[in-house]
Amino acid sequence: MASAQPIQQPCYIYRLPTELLQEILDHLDTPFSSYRHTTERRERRAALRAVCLTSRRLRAAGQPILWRHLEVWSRDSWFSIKPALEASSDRRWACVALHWGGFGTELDASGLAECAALLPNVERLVVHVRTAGWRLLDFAGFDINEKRRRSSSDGREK
Amino acid sequence: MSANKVKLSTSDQEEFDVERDVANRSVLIKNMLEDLGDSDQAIPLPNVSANVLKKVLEWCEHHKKDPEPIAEDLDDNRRKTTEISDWDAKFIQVDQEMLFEIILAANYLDIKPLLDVGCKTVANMIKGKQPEEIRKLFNIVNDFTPEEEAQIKKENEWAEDRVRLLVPPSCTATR
Repeated sequence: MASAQPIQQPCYIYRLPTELLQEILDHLDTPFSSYRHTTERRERRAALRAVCLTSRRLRAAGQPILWRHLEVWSRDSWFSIKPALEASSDRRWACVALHWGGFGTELDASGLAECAALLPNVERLVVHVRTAGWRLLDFAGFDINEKRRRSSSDGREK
Repeated sequence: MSANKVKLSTSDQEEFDVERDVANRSVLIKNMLEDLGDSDQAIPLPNVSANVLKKVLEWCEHHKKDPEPIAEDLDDNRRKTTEISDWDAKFIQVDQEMLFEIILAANYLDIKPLLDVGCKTVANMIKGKQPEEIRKLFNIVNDFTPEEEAQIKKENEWAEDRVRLLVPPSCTATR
């Protein structure tokens, strides 16, 4: 077992290959539909962040899951996510689902276009609309399907 | 050997006579049996030791009548809950060495529901803990420099969950 000190207890979790570490951390993932507004979601995100601070190996396994389902709900959150996204190409690839939260300003369309351009792997994009300005998205080459559904049932992944 | 029993041979050369229904919980063994046809030959499991196989077979025995999981269902549901049935929770109360051996064996033998039980258990152990507590729990050595730690903390600040207002109806866009 890899250990810095000779008296270190064996680290059994390191017997697992990265794929299996990820399999474990998958259970801390937060697909949008099921975890909105819940403490479960908060706990899972906090646990993933803690895992990423534990060691290099666990960070390598956990970081992509933290990015897998990205949610941007405000100007402030976009301005904190943007530099992190720009700083690393790994993260761009990790994100497969993006929820964009309709801030109701012109930033909405331009910010979303910027964000989407940074995320080459996104398979699912859900835009939460507050104004009619979302039609501006046409310019970004999105195929818009308006689906008026109850907010409790929207945004199901895949 | 009767048609209802199969013989499994472990990495430490122990042999187990197992009911076919029980052994079939492992997709790996099931496929091997189909390939072999009616044969008395023991199926070699070079990646599983006797004490781990014994434990895994205990799980298979209890779950031998479970309906075959539908692949899609499994994938859809597995991330949504970290709940584990009472029997499984009791079954998986083992020391860490055995816990991670069971996860490795379930993966090798291709027993998805058992792999899930193991992984959910570890995920639940992690929940609610600080990095230092996680290291202590699993005997992980911190190989970050203090600068790196500060950097990662800062980089992941965005992921902190903030309270949100209710969102309005949405439209979806695909590309």
